[in-house]
Amino acid sequence: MKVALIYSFEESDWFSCTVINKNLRKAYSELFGDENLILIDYTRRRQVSPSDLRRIEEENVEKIIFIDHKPTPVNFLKALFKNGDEKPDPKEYIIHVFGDYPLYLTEWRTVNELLLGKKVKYVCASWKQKKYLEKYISQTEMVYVSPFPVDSKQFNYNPEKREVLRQELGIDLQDKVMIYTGRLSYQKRISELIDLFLSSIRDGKIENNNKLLIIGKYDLLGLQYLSYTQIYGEYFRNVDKVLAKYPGLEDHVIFEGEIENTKLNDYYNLADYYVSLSTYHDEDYGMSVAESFCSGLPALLTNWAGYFSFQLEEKKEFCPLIPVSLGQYKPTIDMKVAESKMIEILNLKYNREEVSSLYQNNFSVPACAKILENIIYSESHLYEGPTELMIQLTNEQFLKGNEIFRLETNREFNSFYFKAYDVYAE
Amino acid sequence: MSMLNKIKQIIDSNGNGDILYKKWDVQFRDDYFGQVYWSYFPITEKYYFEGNPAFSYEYKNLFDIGRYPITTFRDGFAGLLEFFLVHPLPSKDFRSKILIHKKFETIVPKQWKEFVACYSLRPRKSKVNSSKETLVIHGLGLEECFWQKTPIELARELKEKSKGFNNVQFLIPQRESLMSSKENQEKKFNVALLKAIYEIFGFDIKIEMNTEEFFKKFKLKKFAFLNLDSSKAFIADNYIDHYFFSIGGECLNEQYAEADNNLDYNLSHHHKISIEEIDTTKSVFSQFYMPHKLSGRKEISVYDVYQSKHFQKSFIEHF
Repeated sequence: MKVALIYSFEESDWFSCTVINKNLRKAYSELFGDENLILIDYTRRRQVSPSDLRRIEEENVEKIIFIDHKPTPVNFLKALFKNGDEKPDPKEYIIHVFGDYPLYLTEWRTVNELLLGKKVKYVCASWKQKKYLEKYISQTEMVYVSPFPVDSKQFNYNPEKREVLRQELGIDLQDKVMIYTGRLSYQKRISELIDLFLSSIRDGKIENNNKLLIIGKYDLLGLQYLSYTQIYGEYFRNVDKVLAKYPGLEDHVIFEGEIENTKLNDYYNLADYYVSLSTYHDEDYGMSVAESFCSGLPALLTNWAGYFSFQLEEKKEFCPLIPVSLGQYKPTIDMKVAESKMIEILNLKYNREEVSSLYQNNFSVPACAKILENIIYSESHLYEGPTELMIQLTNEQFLKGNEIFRLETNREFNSFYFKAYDVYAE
Repeated sequence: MSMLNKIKQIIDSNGNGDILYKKWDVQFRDDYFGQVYWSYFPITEKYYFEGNPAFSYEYKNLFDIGRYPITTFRDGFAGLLEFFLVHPLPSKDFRSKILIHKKFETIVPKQWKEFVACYSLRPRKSKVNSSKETLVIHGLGLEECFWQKTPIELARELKEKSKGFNNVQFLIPQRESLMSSKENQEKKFNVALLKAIYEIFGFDIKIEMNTEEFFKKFKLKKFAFLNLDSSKAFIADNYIDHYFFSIGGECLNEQYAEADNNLDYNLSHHHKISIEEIDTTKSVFSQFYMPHKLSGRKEISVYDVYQSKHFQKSFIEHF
């Protein structure tokens, strides 16, 4: 069987998407063998070469799989269907959905129109994203879940540099280290995380030898849906004000800035726990979280969106989740509950190799290849059309761009937001 | 209450309602300044500080400045001098505070003393293990860089400062000299600088002209940087300096000694803005103001100041 993988050969400006793309290719390569894969460059400028489109026909490609977040498949499908062939289309279209899906609803509506009556499968990276996508795709049987794979060669249990790296960062071997990696962003709640961590130390709720290691760079995203964007240095000032509340304790928080991806596994291995209070609206998955688990770190996460999928039935204690509820201005979490969950995970006795092995079994490239195999060979369904909510929201988006979830009279979420996002917080 | 205490009170209580860049109606004083602003971008890029860093031409007039409890002028010599020539005295009901770059504290008229303080950017910790591995030289190479030295002199100075570094990288975007007179625009200072750099450093060096591309690839944490515009004749507060500071770079440009009494605010994990009172006893404002007054000109703009041979000469004399 010939399969075409459609993606942009140019790297994404979102690093995690570049990694996801690369790992999905590895998974499909394991599944079908390189000789059966046709790699097609669907450029960031939304172009595909006519010769590639001809190859799809000439080599009798049976499955067309979209594995990139940008651009949406719309221009590719338009080019592919240009000749308006009326014959029933035997091909199946498999689309990996990313967190930025709601930002391009109008394009997805066109994609849906182009795919009407064709065999389609949508693949989400997490269970809550599946529920979210089902708000837009009425046939739930065509929405599947397969995590974005982690490259085990890169992310694994390997304590080789733990000691040296701790020494470099001024962390004692006896210290317990919670690590956060990712963007330092308003919706990722870094300032709340620091506040929670330092207040717990100040109040004697957690031991004084705990450290919070933060890796990543600040961004300006703010809260796009409420047209709240930030300027350079703004979120830093926010974080700095929180640090200033805890004189004498600032050294418990270590900022390492952006580090090379190749060094990330060493940092996970120097740490003891992963932590993220993120309630980012595009948090369909959590690539850093998956990578840290594969290196053997238990994680304290919010029960928000994609994070929910990291709590595995067989070992729930490796991933305590902090409940989230939707709010008028941003999702809310009860900091008291967050504090008790943090105490819980910091007291967890665990075997690091066991954590790594459990999560490798669920999130590694071979594990995901198996899940994808089941999806690929499952029964296909013909796409019948979008939900009423999808139609309403795309109408809104044509007029309002990314502010579809904002009240028109105030900087607050509207009823569409609560209709769409309730599943991320449940 | 001391000047610094007043400023502290303002900054500490400054909410988003009083932050210029958080408002939607920020306009340039004239259209041409808009072109200038974008020609210098990203040097002119906005950044957040409760002291309202902005160029004086981002305010319509003194009333507009008065809408905010505090403003931090990012202007260098030209903008600051224009401001004080137009407003040699504060209006009677003026209440706001203005921060200006420390290099130009002597430009402030004595009558402005209770409204003006000065600032400088500094590392939060003095570098103990300075890295001599990589030096990044950045800047636009526009006319103001050459008020005090020729392109060859500047290139030689850069070469001298880069001694001991194993790797010297250049970030020199190519832009038009929009602040210059028509005659000086023809001189293509940016091209002259490139020629001089190649002449002094040799042709094997790589000069990156695309800032975005440069930052995409630049991942070092231990490095030094040098802004080739040490004149600060047009821009005193450069976004690229903030950027390099914020990722851990060591600044090789003029640094001011630490002072215990300064009012400091962190702007990143590695650098801060340090605010101090000005010393107006050394004010040289009258030496700029008198000739201007005697010239009989009623109006003056930042472009006039920048292009004036007389002011350039005075600048060289005093700064």
